[in-house]
Amino acid sequence: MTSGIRPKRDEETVIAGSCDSENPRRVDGLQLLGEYRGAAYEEPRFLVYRPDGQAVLLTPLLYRVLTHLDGRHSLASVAERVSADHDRAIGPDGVRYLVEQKLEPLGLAVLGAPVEQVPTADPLLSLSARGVLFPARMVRTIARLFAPLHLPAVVAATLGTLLALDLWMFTSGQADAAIRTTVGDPAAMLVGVGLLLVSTLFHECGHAAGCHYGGARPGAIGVGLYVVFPVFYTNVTDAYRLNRAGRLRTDLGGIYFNAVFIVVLGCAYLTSGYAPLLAAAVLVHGQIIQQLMPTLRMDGYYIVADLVGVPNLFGLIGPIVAGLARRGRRGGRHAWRAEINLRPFARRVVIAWVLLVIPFLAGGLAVMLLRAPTYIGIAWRSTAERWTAVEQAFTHGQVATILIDTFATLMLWLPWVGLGFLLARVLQRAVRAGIRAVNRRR
Amino acid sequence: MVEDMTVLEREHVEFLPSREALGGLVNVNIVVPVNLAIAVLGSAALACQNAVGIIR
Repeated sequence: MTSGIRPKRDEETVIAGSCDSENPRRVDGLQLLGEYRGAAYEEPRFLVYRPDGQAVLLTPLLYRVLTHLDGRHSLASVAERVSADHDRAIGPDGVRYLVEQKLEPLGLAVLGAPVEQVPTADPLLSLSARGVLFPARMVRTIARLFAPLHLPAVVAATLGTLLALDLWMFTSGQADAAIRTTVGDPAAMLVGVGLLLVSTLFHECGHAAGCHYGGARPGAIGVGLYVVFPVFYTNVTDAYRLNRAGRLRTDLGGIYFNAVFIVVLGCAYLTSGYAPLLAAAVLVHGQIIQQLMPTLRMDGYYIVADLVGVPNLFGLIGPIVAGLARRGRRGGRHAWRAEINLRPFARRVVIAWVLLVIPFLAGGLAVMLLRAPTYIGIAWRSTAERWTAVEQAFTHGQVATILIDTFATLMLWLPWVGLGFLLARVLQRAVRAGIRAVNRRR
Repeated sequence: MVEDMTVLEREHVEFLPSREALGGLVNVNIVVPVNLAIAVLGSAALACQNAVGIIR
């Protein structure tokens, strides 16, 4: 399944060097990581990382061929070796076919001319307008520092304390009182918003620490626009190399660190009695619930994907929909199941997820587009009110009000910037597809 | 010996997208992002302003 893949155009993507002889070889820097663990595939899949970090899943035969492409053995020799340790015999022509048609175009192996433009995954619903806050090296230091929070004893103590704190917070009436106090005071509200931002950044540290604890290397932490809303992100692509438990620890690390943050805020409130601390603790619960949503690539999506054992749920939407559309045709079901390559239980769960996510995304986008004029009108009026408030606050030197209204105005417009990026991507893909269709007809 | 190219053609390659763990800045739902943004931030800010008499 290579849908959603596009060739990169910049020169940095030239990763396959020339090959002096007829002996095929792997590209320099390719990592062979063995079987993708904890997967629900009928036929296992094997994981490799390209030098540019692109993760690729291969069939057992392709992986076996790749392991023997060391540049010292001819096609015939590679065929012999693959046949010796694989349950299917293959000849030199077969190896040549796999190298030339499958491995070389994807920048995994070299036999003939160097590949100048290798494709890379390019999912439609991905981050746009991204910027790095903490580079990978700094994130790895942070991850090392916080990794002990993932020790089982620490996790048990934290969750026990959280439970006790929540029982007290929501039964004593303190939470409600703290929120009422906070929203009535711009300075306190600014502190609350600031604490929520810190909580979200700490959430990202939880993913990085979980990734590191399992033995993988986290990448950068940054900010970007996901679909239509602003987010922090942590690059944990290397978590693909972990087993299922390691991947789930990485997935859950964010909301677990939210729980740690709630405990710290609760303890600070008990010590100081400062209301914004408890108000923020309550609102962080909302962040946790939001993160568990499985429809977009929030934490809930990765948790479902790793529990089921499918690394790329979105990549299965097309094949699932196509399979459901041609259901009932002779031989169609068998071919479809072979293409999906999932065990029965996983297949049913993925179908249920697809049937949930399609109306959610389509409905969301439709509502956004249909109601855009109304929403933009409201946003425009609200911006005018904010601006008036900022002007008056500026006159009176009320810094907290200035900051809150500026932040609120930014939040009002960011979704529309995100929608603009999303529509531009859709348009770009449509144009590319049109060009390809025209070229095919010529 | 496997030399049937139609069999080899079915050998499967899948690119995995980069795995980015996200954290939302605000509780904005995709269905009604602007409504919620206004409700969560706009009205709260207005409530603050009203409470302390900055605007009205």
